[in-house]
Amino acid sequence: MSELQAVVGAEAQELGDGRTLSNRELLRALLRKPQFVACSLLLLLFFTMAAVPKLFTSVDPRFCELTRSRQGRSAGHPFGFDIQGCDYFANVVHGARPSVLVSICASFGVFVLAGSLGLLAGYFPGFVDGLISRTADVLFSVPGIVVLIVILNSVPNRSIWIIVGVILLIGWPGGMRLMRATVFSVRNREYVLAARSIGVPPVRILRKHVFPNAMAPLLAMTTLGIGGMVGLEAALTFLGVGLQPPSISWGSQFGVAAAYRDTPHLFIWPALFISTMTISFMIIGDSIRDALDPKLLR
Amino acid sequence: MALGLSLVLASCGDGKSSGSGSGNGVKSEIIAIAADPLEYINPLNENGSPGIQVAMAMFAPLVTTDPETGKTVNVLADSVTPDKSSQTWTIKLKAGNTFQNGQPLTAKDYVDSWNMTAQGSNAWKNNGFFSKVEGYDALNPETPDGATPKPTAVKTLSGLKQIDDLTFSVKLKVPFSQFGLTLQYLGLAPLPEEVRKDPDAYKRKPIGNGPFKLDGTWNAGEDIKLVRWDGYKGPNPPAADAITYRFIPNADTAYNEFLAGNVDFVDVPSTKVKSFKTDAPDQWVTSVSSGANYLVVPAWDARFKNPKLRHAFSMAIDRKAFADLVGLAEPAKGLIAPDMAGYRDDACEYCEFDAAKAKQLLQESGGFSGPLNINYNTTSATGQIFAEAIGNMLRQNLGLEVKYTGKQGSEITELADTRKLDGLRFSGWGHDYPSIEDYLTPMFKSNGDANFSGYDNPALDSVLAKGDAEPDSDKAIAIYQQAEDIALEDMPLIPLYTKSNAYLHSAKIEPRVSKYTGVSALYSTFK
Amino acid sequence: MIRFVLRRILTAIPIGLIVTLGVFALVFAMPGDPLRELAGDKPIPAAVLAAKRAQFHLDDPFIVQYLLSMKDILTGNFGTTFAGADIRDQLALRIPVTLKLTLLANAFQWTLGLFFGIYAGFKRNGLIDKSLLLATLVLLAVPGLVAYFAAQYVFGVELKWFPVSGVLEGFPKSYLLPALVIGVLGFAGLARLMRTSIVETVNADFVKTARAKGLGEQRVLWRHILPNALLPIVTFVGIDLAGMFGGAIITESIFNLPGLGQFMFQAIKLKEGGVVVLLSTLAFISFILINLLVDLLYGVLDPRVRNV
Repeated sequence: MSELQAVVGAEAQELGDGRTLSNRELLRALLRKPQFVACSLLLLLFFTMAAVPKLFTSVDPRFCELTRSRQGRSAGHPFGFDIQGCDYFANVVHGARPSVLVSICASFGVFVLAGSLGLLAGYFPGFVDGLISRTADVLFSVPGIVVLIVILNSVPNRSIWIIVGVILLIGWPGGMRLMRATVFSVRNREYVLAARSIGVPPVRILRKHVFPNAMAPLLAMTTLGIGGMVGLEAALTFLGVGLQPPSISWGSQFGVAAAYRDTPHLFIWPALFISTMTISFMIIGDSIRDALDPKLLR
Repeated sequence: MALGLSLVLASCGDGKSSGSGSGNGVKSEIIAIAADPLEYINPLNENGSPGIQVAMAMFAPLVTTDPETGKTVNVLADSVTPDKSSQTWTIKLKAGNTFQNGQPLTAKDYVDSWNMTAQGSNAWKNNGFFSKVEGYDALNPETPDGATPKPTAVKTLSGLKQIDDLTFSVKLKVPFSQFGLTLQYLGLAPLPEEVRKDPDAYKRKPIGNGPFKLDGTWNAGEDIKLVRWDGYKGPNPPAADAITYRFIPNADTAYNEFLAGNVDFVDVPSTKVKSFKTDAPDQWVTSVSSGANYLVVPAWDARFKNPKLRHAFSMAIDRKAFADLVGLAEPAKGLIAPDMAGYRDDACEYCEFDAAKAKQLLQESGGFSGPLNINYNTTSATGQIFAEAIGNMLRQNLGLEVKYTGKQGSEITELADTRKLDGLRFSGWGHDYPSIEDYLTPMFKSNGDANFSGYDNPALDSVLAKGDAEPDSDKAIAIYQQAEDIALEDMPLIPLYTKSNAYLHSAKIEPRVSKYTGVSALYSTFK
Repeated sequence: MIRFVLRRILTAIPIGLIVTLGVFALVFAMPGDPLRELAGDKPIPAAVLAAKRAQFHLDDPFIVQYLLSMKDILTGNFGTTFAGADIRDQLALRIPVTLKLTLLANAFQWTLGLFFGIYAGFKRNGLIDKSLLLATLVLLAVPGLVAYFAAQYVFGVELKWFPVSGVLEGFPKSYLLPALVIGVLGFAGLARLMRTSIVETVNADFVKTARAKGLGEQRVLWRHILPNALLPIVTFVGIDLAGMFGGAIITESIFNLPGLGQFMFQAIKLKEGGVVVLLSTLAFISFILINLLVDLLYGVLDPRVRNV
């Protein structure tokens, strides 16, 4: 996960030199891209599914008849049945909520946390940087997945929020380091040096000059990283520390189905939904990055 | 949970070896064990399936179950004789057997090895076996929490006596008619004197007395390679000339290794029970249904106290559908495994699926308050799936609110042992020796070794004691069946299913399949 | 420079202590009795449990257990696992496995990533570039679990091109498939990163200036474009190498490679605080060294950042 953030973050690192777009300009630029519009609509669909699953299916996902376990599709059951003999379409639709919540909340949280800490660390070398960077080192130098497994094994009840919290805990150092590196190069840029030399107070420099330039890559990075969170949720189920029933989520559907390869429909549907959502987020992230890239502005 | 062990134990026997002709070339097979590599081989300090499985090839038991007839037959023992009360047992060894280092096998080896194991401070895993023997408590004094158990001044079990070179006797604390059967446990195999002096030095170079010995050296994490030991004089040795045990921790991976042709024999993991017949056509075998699996009702939670409530739970479960989900399984019809002498398929009155009756029983019992928690083991690939299946049936058929808690197996066991576990959990049992008693005593006797539910009923205890003192085996079975009836009426464990195991084998071998001893790769014949 | 290195190492020591203490505390706080997992299915007599508990100091207070573990690590007296495995043997067996996997995976990742990234960067909007962008997007969107299982099934079980699992066939054959999957998944990121970086740098003012000064194309490429374009890559490597160890838990488990990841996972399951701390210490040391190298490289590549 942090690897993906790293790629995307660093990829977007050199963005926004010197000039930034207003929100309105950004939106206009984005809406000109058909792939952005298409993916936004897809995401909107997923979000609606997460918010109001009943719009998509009237079948109770918890009504299960074990005798229909793993049956293929039939009238009224377009995705067939899952291992428990519950309607799989209803389950996949209802599975959107935890998956969307985990990925969005964790990503947003990491964005805020990594962004603000990275900004501070990058701009104030010395004590502040030392404190933040060393803390990051501590968290970073333990493989994140180890911390995940240990903590999730210890908590009495693995809820969405605990999973989000643990992802936040191990997720921020990656983003912070990249943000710090970005700020590092931005703070030595001519316009920052100029602002500093004429006595502009640090808070204002951070707000007006450093943050806008450093925010762009982080935004793109966050959008691009969201998909990985859904994959991570599936990996947690594989490792035995995922969401517990009766929660229904794509990750756990996928993690459970990975062991039943002889019933491909169990595997394909959540994998398809996870991948579609991930790709949508990535294309959107890509579009934002392109739109923010001053060298591409014509 | 104990099933793997029992099947392995049961499959240790003197098979009919068809490999009398030398045939063409070396008969060797690679057996996959879905577990972490062994760290040492010492049967006395080993009670898990992988270790016992390897020990079975390298060591020989005193007696074993004949795979053809199901009767107990002698291997290293010449005779095993109880006294009139079944309290003192005299074991006479056959003459002329030796260890693989050439040392003759004598009664002293048994007595000394067993005394070492019974010594609590050695912390050997089969220590518990000897708790039935007179003098055990002197070697295992109560230790306060946190203190290191010190070696006791007494070094020997007072009940264990060497009579001559080949004869020794075991005096038990109380009469126990099934003791002779327990002697087939491989975890009782003796160590030669050389090893007894410094067991640690021989961790990785065990000296056995069975049909196979180590081939060369064996280092940490490596496969265990064995070759036939010509000094083994036991009846009907296996046909193989060489056996390699390969450790593959992930069961699905082991299965894939077989499909890729890298191992000759593998267990079918629970996730593959639906597909193995098409994955490896004509290369699979299944055992008869054995062992028993239950839903454990905690005796320490007053909400579950009414037997009618337990019967309601039991009747709300569609065992047929659940057994299909498990795969290769049969609905349970009693508390003991169907391959035991004394099994009755009409033992359980409340094991039929009947949602209406279940609901009625629930009402009569006064209902159930609060959400019903079902615990499952997260280290098992199917734990969560089985828990959800049971939960769905209890929720839909009884209208209960159900929640689930996934924990590591050890944590569930610990919570249950300290009587803190909230709600139901799963358990399984397989016998160590083929007696209906080995189901009833461990699980239902108050303070039984594996009394998962904390069940305590003096009436049942006294029936068991009567059975233990009954030397006639048919009469003993009838008494034990009364105990089963009591347990079914109270239903501390709700019977779920019994299961056969499936195995894949390469075209060149044919594993031995017995309705008494299960499937054995060790005793494969070669084509 | 030497002072910088020394300072970093000195600051690493307290961090190392916090890391090990934290990890040990986490494992210590995990519920469940470590020895029960060992016992398997059969109940163990109390005396046996007590002896084992004493052997592994499980009844000592938390801090004493931690100090004893640290003492063992620092004196190189690693002892055995709960199950009786000699930890030194285990390390000797497992470190090479993880190293081989990591290095081979990185070799794939780097060869593919740098080649395609640089090529696409210079031929931006060409056919290769367009297909690369699409391909990497798809690769990045595929959850790792799907990729590992699918690859094992298709190339190992069905096509039999590679061993399904295990390290029996030695290096490199047994490591090729898992390394390829890691490499291909990782390549997507690296290639995209490299491409962007090249594009950014080629258009940067200092490159234009260099060209305007009349410097030769080769000189511009080697002295100006590449060093600058490699800057973000260096950060990536640091994160990537540090992350390899964690990601290896899943890869090693699916492909049954007896490396450090599996050792760690087992130790966590068994709540073997000592082993977890030992492995964390190893991970920490390699992490610190890699980061030190990254920072030093940064200084070499980017004259604006000087390690004083």
